[in-house]
Amino acid sequence: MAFSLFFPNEDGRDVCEGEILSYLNGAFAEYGESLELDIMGFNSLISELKCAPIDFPHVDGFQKASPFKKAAYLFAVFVMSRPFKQGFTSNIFPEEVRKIDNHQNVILAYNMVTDCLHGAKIESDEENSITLTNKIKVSKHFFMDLLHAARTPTASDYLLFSLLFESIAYQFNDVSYKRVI
Amino acid sequence: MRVEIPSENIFFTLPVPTMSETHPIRFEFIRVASSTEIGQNHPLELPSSAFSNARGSFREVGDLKKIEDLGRQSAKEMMAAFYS
Repeated sequence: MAFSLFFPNEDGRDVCEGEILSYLNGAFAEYGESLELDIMGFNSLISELKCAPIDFPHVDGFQKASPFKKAAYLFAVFVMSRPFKQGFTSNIFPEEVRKIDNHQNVILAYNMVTDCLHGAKIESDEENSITLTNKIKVSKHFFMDLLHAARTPTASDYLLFSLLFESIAYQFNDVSYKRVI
Repeated sequence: MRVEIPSENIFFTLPVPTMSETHPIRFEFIRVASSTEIGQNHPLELPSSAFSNARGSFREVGDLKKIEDLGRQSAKEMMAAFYS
């Protein structure tokens, strides 16, 4: 079974629910607090992922989009769909986090995206590829700002998140395209 | 496969028609509201189309248990970051 970012797999197998719920189940087990799944929000998320191969908002379409764009799209639609309406209430996160609207979905989406990109292979051209061997990490201060900035996204915001994740991933993996502008 | 999500003392079963009925998976740490109607009224929508990535690929992780372990590990790292 491929991780494949919870999108449909190379072999055409239907995916999503099992992978996403398994991932979240593990996260809640560790956080020690289970949040109530909103079925409508969850179905909205699955619907967005289902339609992604058809109407992915990228000029070259879904199939040619980089893992960064796909990961960022997952991030945007997950937070936007709000599969969990209620935030974390226990002190596993400080109050400054818990008082941010939709913090729970940003946190969970960030968890998923960093795991998706960890180990991803990026084809920079036909002959060269980069494997992101180091998992993305940001500072606590950066993450707090991300919680505020990302709490009410639209699907079209995915491209900005893609640039963000790409930049951080390259920084952590000591690779980059030549900076010329 | 049937996906079971506990809500307090009630266990809901979500039909996942693409998977085998013979291997139930129970998500013990995900809850749904007891008043939520699940099933015919809110069927899970399943994606279905071939996936081809010309610009890269995601790593192979393994089965659902390994994906769950990833969720655990990321949560552990997140908590460690906030309380380090």
